[in-house]
Amino acid sequence: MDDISIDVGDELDLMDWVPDKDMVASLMSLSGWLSNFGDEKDDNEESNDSPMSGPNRFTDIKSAQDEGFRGLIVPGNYGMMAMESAVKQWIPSSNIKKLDCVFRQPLMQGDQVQVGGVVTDRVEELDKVILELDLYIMRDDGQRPQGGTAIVEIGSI
Amino acid sequence: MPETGDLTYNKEMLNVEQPNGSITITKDHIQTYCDATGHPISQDESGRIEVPVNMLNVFFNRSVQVGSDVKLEGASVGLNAGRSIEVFDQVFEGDTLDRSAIFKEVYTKTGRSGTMAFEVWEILFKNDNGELVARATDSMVYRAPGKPGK
Repeated sequence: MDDISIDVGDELDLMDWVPDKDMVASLMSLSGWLSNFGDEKDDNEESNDSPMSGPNRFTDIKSAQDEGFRGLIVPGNYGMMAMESAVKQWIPSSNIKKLDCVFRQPLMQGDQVQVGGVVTDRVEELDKVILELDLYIMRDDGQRPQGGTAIVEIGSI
Repeated sequence: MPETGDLTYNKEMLNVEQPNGSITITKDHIQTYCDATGHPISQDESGRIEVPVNMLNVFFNRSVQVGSDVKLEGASVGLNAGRSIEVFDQVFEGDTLDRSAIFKEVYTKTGRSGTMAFEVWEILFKNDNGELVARATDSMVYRAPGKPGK
C-alpha cells in the first residue's frame, strides 16, 4: 500500500515482539543504568550508582518477586519503542510527532506479544498527511497491557 | 485493601526547571537502539542518520539536585504508569542535547488496590541554540506491594 493512501480504519501490520533479557540489558546499558553495576568500591567511597545499578525488578528475579511480580518485567517505556518500530515498519516514510502511552499492566520479559493499531483520523494538509493512530500491545490472552495514541506525519504529497 | 497513609512531597520544587546534564547521541547509540528494538535506521536526504523519537526515552533522566521527595505512607512499590513524548524538531546522529527536568504534579487516586500516588515529571531536550526539540512527560505510580508471584 502507498503510504499516503493510508486512511481511517486501516490497521497496522501486527508485529510480533519478544522483549527478552538481552534487549532489556542492551537498552538499560544505553541509558547508563547498568554502566557501573557490580563495580567494587572502597568502604569509604561514596556510591555514584545509577538508580537501577543494583538488583532490581528488571534484572533480578528475587527483587521482581519481592515486589509482587511473577518474573522479570520490562521497563514500561520500552513498549513505546516497540510501538514506534511497528509504525515505522508499516509506514516507512512516516515521522512520529507525538506518542502518548499508558502502562496498565507490566510486560514480562520473555513473553511474546503483538504490537498493533488502527488509524483513527486523517488530515490532509498542503504538503503532508497527518494521521492519528490508536496503538496497543496485546498478549496471547487478548489483554492489552499497554495502549497509546500517536500523531504521525507522512511527508510531501 | 492495602493501607496507605499520608502523602507528602516537596511543594517548593513544583514547576521548577532543573538542569540534568547533556547527551551526545552517537551512531553507536542509534545502532544499539535499532538492533534492540527492530526500529529501521533512517537517513535524511543528505545522509544524516535520524534519531528515532522514542530513543530519547532511553535518555529520560529525572535525577536532579533537589528532588520531589514524594512519599505515600505504606506505598513501597513505584511503577511507571505512562509516558508521552512530543517531538518538535528531528534529532540526528552527533547532536548534543541539554536536558532539564521539571516536577509537574502529584495527585492520588483510590482504587481496588488502595490509594496510589501519581508523580508527574517533564523532561525537556534542547539543542545547542536552546531550542526545545522534544518534551517527555512521565507518570510514576506508588502503591502498596501486591501479593508475591503475580
